[in-house]
Order: sequence, then C-alpha cells, then structure tokens
Amino acid sequence: MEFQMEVTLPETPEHVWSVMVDVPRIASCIPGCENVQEVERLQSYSAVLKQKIGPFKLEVPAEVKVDGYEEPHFLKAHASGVDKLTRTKLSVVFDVTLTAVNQNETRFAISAELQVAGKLASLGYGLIKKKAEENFAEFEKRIRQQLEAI
Amino acid sequence: MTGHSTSGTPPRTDFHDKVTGRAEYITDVVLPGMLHGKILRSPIPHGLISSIDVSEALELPGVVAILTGADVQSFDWLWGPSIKDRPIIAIDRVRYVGEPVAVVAAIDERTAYDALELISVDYEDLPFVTDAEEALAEDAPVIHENPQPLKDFYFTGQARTVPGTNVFQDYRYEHGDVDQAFADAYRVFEDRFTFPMVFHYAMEPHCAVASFQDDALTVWSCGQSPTAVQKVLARIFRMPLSSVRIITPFVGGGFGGKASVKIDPLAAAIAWKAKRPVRLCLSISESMLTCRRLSAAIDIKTAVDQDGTIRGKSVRIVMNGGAYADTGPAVAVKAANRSIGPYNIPNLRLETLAVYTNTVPGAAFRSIGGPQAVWATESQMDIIAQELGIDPVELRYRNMLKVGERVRPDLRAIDVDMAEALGLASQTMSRVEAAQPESKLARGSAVGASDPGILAVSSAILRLKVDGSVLVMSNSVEIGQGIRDVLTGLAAEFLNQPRAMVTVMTPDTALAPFDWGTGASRSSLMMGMALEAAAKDILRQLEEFVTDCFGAQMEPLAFVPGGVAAGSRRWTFEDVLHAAYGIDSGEIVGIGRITPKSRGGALAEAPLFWETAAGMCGIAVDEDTGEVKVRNYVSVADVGHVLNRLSAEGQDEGAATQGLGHALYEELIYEDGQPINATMIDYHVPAMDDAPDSFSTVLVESGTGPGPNGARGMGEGAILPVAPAIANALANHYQIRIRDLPMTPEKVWRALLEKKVQ
Repeated sequence: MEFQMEVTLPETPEHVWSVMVDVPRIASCIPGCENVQEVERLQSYSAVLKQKIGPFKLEVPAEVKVDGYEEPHFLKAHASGVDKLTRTKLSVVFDVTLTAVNQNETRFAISAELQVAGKLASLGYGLIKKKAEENFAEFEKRIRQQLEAI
Repeated sequence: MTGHSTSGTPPRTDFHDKVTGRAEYITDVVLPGMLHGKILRSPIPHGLISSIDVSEALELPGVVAILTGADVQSFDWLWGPSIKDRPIIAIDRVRYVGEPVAVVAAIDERTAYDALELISVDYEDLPFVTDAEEALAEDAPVIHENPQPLKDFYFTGQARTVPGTNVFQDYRYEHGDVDQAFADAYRVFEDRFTFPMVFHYAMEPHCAVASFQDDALTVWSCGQSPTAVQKVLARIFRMPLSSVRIITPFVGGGFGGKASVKIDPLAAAIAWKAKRPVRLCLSISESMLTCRRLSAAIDIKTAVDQDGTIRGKSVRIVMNGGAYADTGPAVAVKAANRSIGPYNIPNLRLETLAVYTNTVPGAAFRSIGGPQAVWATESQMDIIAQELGIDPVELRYRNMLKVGERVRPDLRAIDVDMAEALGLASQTMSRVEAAQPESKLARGSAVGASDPGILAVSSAILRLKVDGSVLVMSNSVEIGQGIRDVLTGLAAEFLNQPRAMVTVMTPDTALAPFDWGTGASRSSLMMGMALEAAAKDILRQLEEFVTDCFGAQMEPLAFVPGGVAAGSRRWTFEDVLHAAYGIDSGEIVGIGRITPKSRGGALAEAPLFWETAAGMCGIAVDEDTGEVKVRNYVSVADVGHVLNRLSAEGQDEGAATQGLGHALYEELIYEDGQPINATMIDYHVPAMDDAPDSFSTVLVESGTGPGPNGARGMGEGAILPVAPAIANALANHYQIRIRDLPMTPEKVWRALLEKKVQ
C-alpha cells in the first residue's frame, strides 16, 4: 500500500524539522503510537503500535531505523514489527521531504509504502487498507495542528 | 440429443455410498498411531529465511515432530512434474505467500494448529513481482536462478526455459508467411484480452495420509495421477518404485488442481520425520494457496479478406505461472494451440511465454490453457464480424475447418463436424427462445477446439472369478466424473456379464497396472480400450482351456452371461475352470495394455481426438447495476458415443457452469504481494442461483472417437465458449466490448455508462 501526503505549512523548513525530530510531539500525531523511545537520536527508535482493525486488536512492538537524513530537508526511515497474537507483520518504508516554498512556507511531503503480511493480510486486507488510509488522514490532520501551532 | 430420457440409465455405482455417507474419502482414513499435520506458511511473497525456531512449539504437549527445510536436505528434495524447481518444503527461501515453511505433526489437529503459533521464523525480504509482464522486465527479481527442465518426465518433451529470466516456458510455432499475410490483408485486427487467476474449488481440499513402514511408503493420495505421485516420491526418497504405494479413494473433485503431484511429498516428509503415519488435510483457503489456473494476457492479430476469410493470425500469450512451474509449461503449449480455433489459418504464428512470479503456483485446470485462449480468439471473431458487417455465426462458417482438414500440419486432422455443432446450438437456442415469447435476451455464441494432451498409455487388469464375478483393477481415479460406473459398464459389456457381477477396485499402484493419470478427458476412452483388450485376453485364455479340456471348437468362442459359448455349446466359467484346474476354484486374469503403437499405430498421432464445443447464451443485464444473468445456455459437444448419459450431461453442464465463474465472478486478486481474497468469504464461485434458468446439453454421437463404440473424451470442452459467448452477447445487444475477465457488474456498468456518454 502506498500513501502520499503533501501539505504547505506557514513555517521554515528548520522549524518544521525541529517538530519532526521532537519524538513525543511527532509520536502524538501517529494514531495508536505508544511508548516511543529514542534509542539513538536520528538513528534508532522503538514504539508500540496499537490498532483495532475490525474484530482484531493489534499490538505491534516496532523498531524504527533511520536510513538517512539531510537536515532540515530530508529523512528516510523504515519500521517493522510483528503482532504477538495474529503474527501479522507490518513494515513501512517512508521518506519525508521538506522544501522551502518561500521564506515563510515549507512544503512538507511524506511518501510511505506499507506492507502487511500474515493472517490479517489474507483475512482483512480491505479492512487494513481502510484503517491505514484513515490513520494517514488523521496523521495529516494532527501534524498540521502541531505545525500550525509552532 | 437434447431431451434424451435418462430414465433408462442405471443409477451410478458410487451414488448410493456417497449419499449415505459410506463412501470413503481420504479424510475418513484412520491408521493406528496416526498424527495430524498442520502447515506454517510464508506470510511474505519473496524472502530469505534467516532463522526458524521450533523449540517452543516442540514443548507443547501433544506435538510429536516438526518438519522444516533443514530436515529434508538429505533427500533429493527438489522436484516438479516439468521442471525440478520446487523444494519439498522451503529450505532457505520463500517465493510466495502461502509456501509451506514448517509442518507440525501432533496428536490432534487443534494441538498442531496451536503449535504453529509458537514457531518463530525470521525473514529477510527480497524484491517481489506478482505480475507476469512486470516479471519479464530486465530489472525484475529473478525467482529461480537455474531451473532444471525434465525431459519426458510427466509430459513428453521438455520445457524451454530462458536462463537468467523468469521465463520457464518459451513456446513458439509458425507456418506460412504471417508477415506477408498481414501486409496483403484487407483488414488487420489487433486486440488484447486478459484472463484472471482462478481457483479450482474442488469441494474436497487437498489431503493426504502418509505412512512409512518396513522401508516402504504408503500414501493415501487425492492425486489424479497416482503413478506420477509414486514416481515423484520414489525419486525424492530414493526408494524403488515398488516400495512406494499410492492408494486413491474417492476424491471430491479435482479439475486439474489435483493433477500431477501437489502435497504428497510434504505429507510423506512429515510422516518420515514423525516416524508415524500423518494425516495432512488442508482447509479450502489453504487449497487456494496450493494451485490455481494460470492467468494470461493475450495479444491477438488477425488478417482478413473483405469477405471475412482469415488470411493470417499471430497470437502472443504471456501467462502468469506463479512461484513454481508445476504443469505450467504444458498449459502454455496448449494455450497456444487452443487459440487457433477450429478455423483454417493458412499463415499462423504462435508464441507463449509462461513466467515465474511470486504468486500461488499455476497448474493444470479443466482444458488447460483453453479458456484463456478461446476467450481471446472467439471474442475477436465477433469483433471482426461486427466491423465487416458479417453475421458472427456466418463468419465462423466461412472459416471453419471441415472434417479431415488440419489446424496445423503436425496435428491430427479435425475429426468433428464443427459446422453441425454450431448449427445444432442455433437450432436448440431457437427452440428454447420460441418457448419464451416474452423474453428479450441478448444472444451470443462461441466455439472452441482443444487438443487433449493425452499420452496414449493405459493398462487395466480384469480378474474373472470362477463364479462369474469380475474385479476391475485400474488406476483411473473417481473424482466425481463417474469413471467407476463407466468401467463397471464397459467391463460388463466386454465380458457380456451382468453389471451386478462387476466390482471396480479402489486405485492402488501396488495392485493396478500403470496408467498415465486421470485428466485431459482421457480415462473413459483410454481405460475403456484397455478393458476391451483385457477382456480379449481373458477370452484367449478361456479358448485355450476349452480347447484343452473339451476339444477344438468349430465355432468361435464368445462370452455369454455366466460363461462362454461356441455355437450351440455352452460352458459356465465354473465348468471351464473346474475342468482346467481339477477343482471348482480359480480365476482368469486378463491384462489390457494400450500404447501409442496399439491399433496399428493409430493412437500415436496427437491429439488422440479433438474435443470441441459450441456454446450459445441468452443473457439479461441489469443496466442499473451492470449485473449479467445468463438465462439460457446451450452447449453442444460431439462425444462420439454416450457411455452414461446422466454423467455425460452432468459433466457438460458442470464444465459450462464452471466457465460462468471466470466469465462473471472469479479472480484471485493480489495486492502488495498478498492474495487478498483467498478465502471463500471473499471469492465467489457460481452458486445455484447463478446457473442458467434453461440449460440445454446436446450430445452428438458421431461414433468417430477412438474409444469404445466410437466414444471420445469429454467434460472439458464445454468450459471453452462460455466467457466469449457472454461477451459477444454484450457486444451484440449493448454495443459494449469487455476484454478483461471477469465481467463483473462494475466493469459492465462502467462500459454501459461510457457507451451512453459517447
């Protein structure tokens, strides 16, 4: 599943970047994201993703690894984890791009590719896709609120 | 002919046991100490197995053994019916979602299932590809580095792989000057059609019970080809063929999904590991992850004269063969041949590429390659007719081959009057419509011609007992088609004994002689010929006994009920055997063997016969939803000679109804490498409500087949015309042309909408 999000924010890339790497703030934008820990700044993080998808309750401990970044313009990372109960594997690769539109505005773009493997994929792919779309929409809404509040 | 009374047909020999639940299927087999197996499957489409930890699962009470790739490496663990590309179980790499990674054997199914949850597998993802045309790209991940084609292993010949690519069969054929035909043509039509992956949906999922004992392996298999299962297992476990015994009880449907070999190596391997018999019975969802029909994209280019005469044709088919080749190479060849149609094509070019992808392995499925090819060819015939302003049926008549003419110089001449078949379809449909004066349905038609891939090798044993009772021993599998009844009737006929005296044994490779397998519309006629030969062998032996015991007879000896007769002299079987053996006991064993050299070599030319079909439908469309309902359907097949009318009509109706599936409903859908509708909740096969209100089967008895009384094979042809006939009806009446199956309500609705906008 591929997801794209793009929003223009009334801040410089440096400001947007500072919010993005503020772990508690960015974590609060991700629906169901809990217990976020910074293992190593801009290198490695851990978190637990809790989701209710149809009749299934997923609890996925995930490792987030930063594959590369160029402050304050670009970050690429991947995350993966396995739900303990259903053994469903979630993995996501995403990159974030911050582009200065003018002196006071930044285009904030995320491109993500989500992979779901396991029982849930075969039984409820449609549900997962819908939930993921909802989560991305919610993420967009929350991060916009966060950044507009800078 | 249609409407023929079935009241005279005796009830099938297997019906009573089946309706009373006494018929034994594999799932009913219980052996002392038998364990139950469950399979852990790959959740990812392509990847390396980094580690497998089964320790926690082994500690679960009731778990006896767990098989992983590490266990099988002392065997010849790579196998396949066409290409040696498939491990018994994933060794270090998985190639599709659903590939077996571990098998648990436990004291019951629940425990085995629970243990699967405790197995931990780490994967390293690899790039994957699920689309065949994307798999042909230069930068596509290569799914098999060096697949090894087998020569004359299951089919004659061998696959033409293209090393370094995902192509596991590159089939090409050409006659005439195709390019010149295109250059000289009045019109050239170029069209593309697609056909989806579809599932066989036999009511009984794949299952097996395997047992190693005293250096011998016995498998109760659902395979349609017991001797192929035996051969593959003997090679894998490096055992003599005589030490591998395959028993095939009643099988709950196959449709090709149980042809060649499927789960038997896995069942045998876990039984070997557990050192106890193991029952491995899949769920229907697991069967959907075991095999399916090859999907296809078909590009077809046809050159015609102004009067519709076909001057040349080229067909390029790209087939999605899935993660392992299975019988896909043969499917690819047949798809090419079956795209020709029963037409005279003076300049012809065929090309099929069958391609590995990270999807469920493709496999044989009722008329292998046929529905894909005929979908394209017969849809295009109507496109040409419409463009040239010629009636579509008339266009077909103008190009149709007559009996004795050849589709290709290297294939047997057409032995069916296709024009008669098409005429009968029109005539029958007119009668049906005349009885429905209020009905206004869209009518469409199509024909199909297939060259069954029959190896003309079969043998059977008849054991005539002193009391006149008869045992039939063969490896023809009862998959619901009624072969046991056919063999009962033929044995009774050839020996001239009452049907009640004949018993057909369960196929068992330890007892019955070699047979290629049950499929490709072959068993009734091939085993029928073998039984005829076996009966002659018995008569020959009886003649010797009669001559020895009663003197030479002036009249030829012939079977009569309860014995034999020569002119006015009669002897019971007891008379003959008592005189020959000195006691009133004994039997005579007759063996019948058919090879390509039998009957003066008349069986050597391929195909053994042409299986053809003409189909005509009357459809209604809900223009608000796009839903297509087939109200009337007529199916015409020349079967040569009807051996059991009820079964023959049932097979014809079954094939056509199965065709409704890929025509209107069925498609196995992949997203992100995952099969997202591989459950019977999400995957719709035709139900009773979907069947046509009026279904007419016309069975032509030309007596021109190679089988008993001129019988030819049947049961596959009727699936061929269904989808193009419906699409042609949509085009004729609604002026919309659907090129991608299935013709779902959404596709039809969108096409109608687009038409209105235009």
